[in-house]
Amino acid sequence: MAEHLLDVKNLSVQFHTAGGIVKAVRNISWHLDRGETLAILGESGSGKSVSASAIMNLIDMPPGEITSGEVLFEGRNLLTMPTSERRAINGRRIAMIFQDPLGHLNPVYTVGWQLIETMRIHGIDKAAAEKRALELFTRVGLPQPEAAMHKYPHQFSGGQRQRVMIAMALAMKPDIVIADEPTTALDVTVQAEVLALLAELQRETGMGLLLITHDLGVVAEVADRVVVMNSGEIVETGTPQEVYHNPQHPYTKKLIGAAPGKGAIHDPQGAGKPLLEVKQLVKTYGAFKALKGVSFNLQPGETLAVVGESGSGKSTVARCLLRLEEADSGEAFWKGRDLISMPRKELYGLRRQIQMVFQDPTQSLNPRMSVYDLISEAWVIHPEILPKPKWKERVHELLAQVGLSPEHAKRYPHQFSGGQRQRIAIARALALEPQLIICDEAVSALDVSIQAQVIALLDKLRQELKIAFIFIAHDLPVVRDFADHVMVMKSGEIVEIGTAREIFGNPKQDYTRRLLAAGLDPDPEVQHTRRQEREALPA
Amino acid sequence: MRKLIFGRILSSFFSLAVLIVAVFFLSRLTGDPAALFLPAEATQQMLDNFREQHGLNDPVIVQFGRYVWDLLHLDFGQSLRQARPAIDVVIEGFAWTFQLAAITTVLVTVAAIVIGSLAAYKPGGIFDRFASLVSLIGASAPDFWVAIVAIVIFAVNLAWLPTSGTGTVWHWILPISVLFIRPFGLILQIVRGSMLQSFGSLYVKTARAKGVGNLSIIFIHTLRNAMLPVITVIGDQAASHAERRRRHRDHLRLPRRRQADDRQHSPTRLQRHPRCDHGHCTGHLRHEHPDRYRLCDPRSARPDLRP
Repeated sequence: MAEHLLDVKNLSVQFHTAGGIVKAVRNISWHLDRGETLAILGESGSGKSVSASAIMNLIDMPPGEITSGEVLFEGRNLLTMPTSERRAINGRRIAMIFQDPLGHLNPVYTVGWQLIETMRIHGIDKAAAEKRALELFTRVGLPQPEAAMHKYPHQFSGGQRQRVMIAMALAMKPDIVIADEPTTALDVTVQAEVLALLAELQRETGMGLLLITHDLGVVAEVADRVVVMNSGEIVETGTPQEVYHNPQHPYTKKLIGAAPGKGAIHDPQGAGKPLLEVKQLVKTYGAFKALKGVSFNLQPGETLAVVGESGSGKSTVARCLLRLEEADSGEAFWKGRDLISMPRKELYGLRRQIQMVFQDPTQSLNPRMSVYDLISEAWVIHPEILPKPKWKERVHELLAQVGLSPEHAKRYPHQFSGGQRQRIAIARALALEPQLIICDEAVSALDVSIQAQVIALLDKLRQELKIAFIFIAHDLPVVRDFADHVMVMKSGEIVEIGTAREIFGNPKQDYTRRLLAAGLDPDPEVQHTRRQEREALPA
Repeated sequence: MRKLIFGRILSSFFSLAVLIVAVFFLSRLTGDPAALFLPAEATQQMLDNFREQHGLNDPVIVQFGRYVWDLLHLDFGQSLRQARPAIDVVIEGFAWTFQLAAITTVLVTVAAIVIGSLAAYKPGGIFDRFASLVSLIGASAPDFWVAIVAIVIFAVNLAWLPTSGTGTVWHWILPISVLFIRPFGLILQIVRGSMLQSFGSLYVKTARAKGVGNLSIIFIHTLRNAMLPVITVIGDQAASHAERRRRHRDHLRLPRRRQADDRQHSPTRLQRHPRCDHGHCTGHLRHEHPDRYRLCDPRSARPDLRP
């Protein structure tokens, strides 16, 4: 048997926690060859990052403990190697790119310094390191590479920061690059660029690329082989084509089935008197124009998806409508009353008709309140909705409606998973019997399979309760299954607005087409054609 | 930049003006200066003379006008006790205070940062436990008591060090050691806590993945990020050094300074200088001049550019 570049054999890792021993990874084996891209696919808690951390000696021990297995790099076991030797391999032979480049770059040093440091610790002299740093920044496509050397991480955009991380990983021309969710925090168009850059650099250097991801689309785009992980175990391996078209394990089937963007497209119910009429909404922050005159209508019981990249102003629309921010000018008629110019006092009473569900349920639910308190708090503030004796019954009813059970009422938010927490947030919004719910990236932080469940829940609520939704998202496939109308935004303006069928079937604007083309399809063949289409599009 | 400096100068002038008014009128509130300053058995004649001599018979507002006028001419008046220019008395005392404060602050800063950082690297390890124990004792020992005990042991019983006076290196050891203990204990705890937090950061993970060595991770990658709260406390401590130093000098008598100091803090203290209280100045810097924090954290450099 030929020797692999990196060979992980029977690796088991466990963590000692307050709640007992957690077996993060159980007896897993995989290998990586030169010039190959291996994807490890899994949802949160599947243990997909742990094996990478073991390779890089990043597991804190204690509480972590490697109970069995070996990691062979060019035939030598990394796990039994002295620390100083591993340090010499880290960054030089095996390098790593992380998910959150803002957190992973040191905020108090310039990116140039951080890049040069990588080379200096591995014995390159200062002048040579500086020269190479400039080459690398040019190669990864940072604008004005010379000036970039002297800038701090916070002065770059998310995509640029990830390019800095990539430059840092490539500095020593490593044999292996491990990329842990490298594009998860990025916009779709930027994601496509970063993945293309990684693939290009791999062709140039012949490095082995280990890509850790939760996104089937990313796998379809770049992987040669894929390893699917669930609760610390490998459930399936194969090429992306094999795994997608012929999944063997029930978990893989479930994961592929949950991928959004394949359901039927909704058609709007037809026009009537709009519930909300927004006209020429303008908002500026200093010299920055966040909204440059946005107008749209929303029918009762309809879902309007607002799609755009970060900085496009999609969240600002929501914040202005709820008066969490004051708009500079414009009107927003809610059943004929202008929300923007309404006195605060009147608005206060009206707020219960418009509710919001936020992106991160961990942060938007008070950790010191039980689920019962969280949901019933609405009635403390608006006592006219429900008399106190009926609260308990209604809380149980709401929990059942969002797919939880009545005994959950006594628990606290930390006792739930991310998806369950988002259900609680939805139940809290429903408690006020709203006519409009604004979801600001409400499913972005959730795993794919959970995402599908929450979307199904929202769809059910829409049909049963005739609630209208403004659904803010950056992910187009999610929107496709759920929206009646789609509004595409860019730099504070509406690029295109239309029914979901029009936008997805026949986009009129180049930007919309680019956005659609940049989205990754979980089907490797579809993704291949899409990539060719994208490359053909004018930049 | 010029606008910034101008703004800072203007705000400093405002603070100074408030201070001058407060010092002048508050010192008048403590009672008749002549009665307070002269001994109880002084005759009416003596009191009258004293008042006449120092212009205390004029209306308060006239006295205040004169006080400010003199200040503007950099005339800080006469020390009542020593009958020589107040500025000389203050400068003489201040020189000692300043030297002691500077030496102690430097020593405390270096020792606390190095030991605190190393302790935080392996929380719960032997070194960490030992350092935490020492710092806890240091931070909780009342220093006036430590000063007396130190004199009794090292100066009186063992006779290793002089009890008071100045001149040789030996004279410095006792006051510096005593002044060192409390701020060292406190700052060490702050450094340790702040470093613990920084060690958990994602960029430390990146540094490890790059192959950076342990010492470099501690003192280059982590320390600078952990310095903000440390600087805040060091500033505060340096300010209160002046305060503590005065108390200690009563026990560790470095005679000349003590005399000068007694004048400064005598109950009637009528020397006519706007005493820029050391503590006030540093606190003022901290709140009014966040610019120096930018040395530590470049993210605060251009607040106007942040979203």
